[in-house]
Amino acid sequence: MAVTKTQQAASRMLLFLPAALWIMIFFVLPYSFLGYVSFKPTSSSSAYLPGFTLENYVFNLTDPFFWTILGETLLGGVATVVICLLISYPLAYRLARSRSKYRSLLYMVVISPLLVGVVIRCYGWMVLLADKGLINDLLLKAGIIDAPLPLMYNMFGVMVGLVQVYMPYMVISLTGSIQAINPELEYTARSLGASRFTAFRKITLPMSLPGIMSGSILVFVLTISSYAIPLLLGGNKTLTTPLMIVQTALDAFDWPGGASMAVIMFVIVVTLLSIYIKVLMHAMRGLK
Amino acid sequence: MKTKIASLLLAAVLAVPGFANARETLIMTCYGGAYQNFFETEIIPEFAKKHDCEIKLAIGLAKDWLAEMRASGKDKAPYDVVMMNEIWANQMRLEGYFDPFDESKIPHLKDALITFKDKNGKTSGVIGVVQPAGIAYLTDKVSNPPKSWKDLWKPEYKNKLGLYTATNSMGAQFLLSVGDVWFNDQTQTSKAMDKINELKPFKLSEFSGDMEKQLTLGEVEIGILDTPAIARLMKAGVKIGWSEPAEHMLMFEQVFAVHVGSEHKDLAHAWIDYLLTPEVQAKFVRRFYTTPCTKGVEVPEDLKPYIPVGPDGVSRIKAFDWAFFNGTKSRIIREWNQKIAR
Repeated sequence: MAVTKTQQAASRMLLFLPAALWIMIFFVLPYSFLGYVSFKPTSSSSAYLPGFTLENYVFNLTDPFFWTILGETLLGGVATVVICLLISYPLAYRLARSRSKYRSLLYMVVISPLLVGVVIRCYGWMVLLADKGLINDLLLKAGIIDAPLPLMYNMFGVMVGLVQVYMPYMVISLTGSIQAINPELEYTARSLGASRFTAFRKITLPMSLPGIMSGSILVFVLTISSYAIPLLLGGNKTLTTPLMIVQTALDAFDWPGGASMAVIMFVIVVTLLSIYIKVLMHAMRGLK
Repeated sequence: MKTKIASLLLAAVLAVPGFANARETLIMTCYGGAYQNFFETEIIPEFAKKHDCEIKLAIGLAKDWLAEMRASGKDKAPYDVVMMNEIWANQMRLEGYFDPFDESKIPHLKDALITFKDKNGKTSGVIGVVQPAGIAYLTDKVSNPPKSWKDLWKPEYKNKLGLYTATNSMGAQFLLSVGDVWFNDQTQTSKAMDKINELKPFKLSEFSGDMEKQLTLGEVEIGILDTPAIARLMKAGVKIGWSEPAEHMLMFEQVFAVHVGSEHKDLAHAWIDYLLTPEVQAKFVRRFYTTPCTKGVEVPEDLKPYIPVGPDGVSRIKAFDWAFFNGTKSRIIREWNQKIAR
């Protein structure tokens, strides 16, 4: 019996339904509620007051401190992406091109940090980076320094944690992308006189842009929304927007204030990512 | 025929495990780890057996419970009995989430050293656990320990201090305390923050476990800790001492209250009464080195080296204006972030 177009459409809808439901329940509804709360008047004796107001947005949008912290959070995200990219690219290239029998093992080593919880990894870094930690202890005993280096409870410590925790996401994205590039293209370029660096710059790097794009978006989004790492390695002295949102919504009990911060951050990040994707897509189209 | 079918259905329903013997279930907020273990192994079984009920623990932290309670509303109680610090409990009491106690159903309430009243003057909260807090110091690093809060400003303690963030209840107490000690007014939080700024550089902790870790590692040499934490660290071999500040002590405390929307209020009252009995209070003291907070319970002789503050010392713990703090918390945290945490 022939399958009618209606039946095909119905089966397509059925396949789409679980994902649509999932997104509706766990993304659209919570975000809608967040948006709703962000317009409610703040109260010190209840979750929020009846009615609607723009006061929360006006307060945050005109608060220089909020913008400073948001700017630092976004800059921290960009810096983490750049550092992850610089460290991950050679590693991903090696992994993608390797024919060693230990390739799988190397791959496991790269992604192994993902098998340990973020908090536990942070505590590991604390043991290393603390004033009385292993690194400072060794440097002091070797007479290289007179006083402990400030390796933790500052932006440096936070960046170390962020890069280590999120680097595997970049490596995974890049490896898949580089693997998809035919190695013959590089060999051909070299046989035609291109140096190794020129072959990389003109062929491998541009063709791996999809991997760079997906890896950088993943790392950027995870970094700017990170909570545990700035909290633990920043020692409550490195404030980021997620920490500020949690403080406002849960510690200060100001749900509308926290919700409006989250919405502002969401809109700015979506805008920035849209521009970034557009620019990279444009660059990739030029390759075709 | 109909009777037979009905009998069969009833028999089937009764055969479902737990249905025939459906016991009343009480849900109480509780912290994970040692507290959860203590309640589950030493406290709950006796009460559950006596009242033929089940006590379930909702493990988490106060800020999560408060969010859940607010999200559920006053009519739907996610927890029947709430256990949390007064800084949080005060907020929920003002919002009307706690039922006034029926004091006839909590006979041991009369023995409690600290209770809280709601805006109608009815008792709706009782402290069941007290952990007095003061100045902790490493005995091998600090030969002349601070004896008062004001001593912390002495130059000899520079670069040795560990404090809490204002979002932690101990941090909030310290902030209000600085206002009280230096400006005779705990609501002078802006001036207090400027005064705390004079103590820089110092490490900041988000919770007491972090402070314990920093003292243990020697990252800070002088901090603020409760006496049970000091006892634990002493037993673990850390060279640590404790001073009761001359002005007053701070505390980590657990307030017990009944949710206004609870459907098991009689059982909730019985449970709180049970927690205030000398037997249960004595168990808290022995397990956690807490200070007895009901009349008739004393510190056992063998625990006196680890519990420096007895029940008579509870009056030396400062009471803070949490209504003021919670009402201005948003501004305080923002100012703290700008002045202290940068």
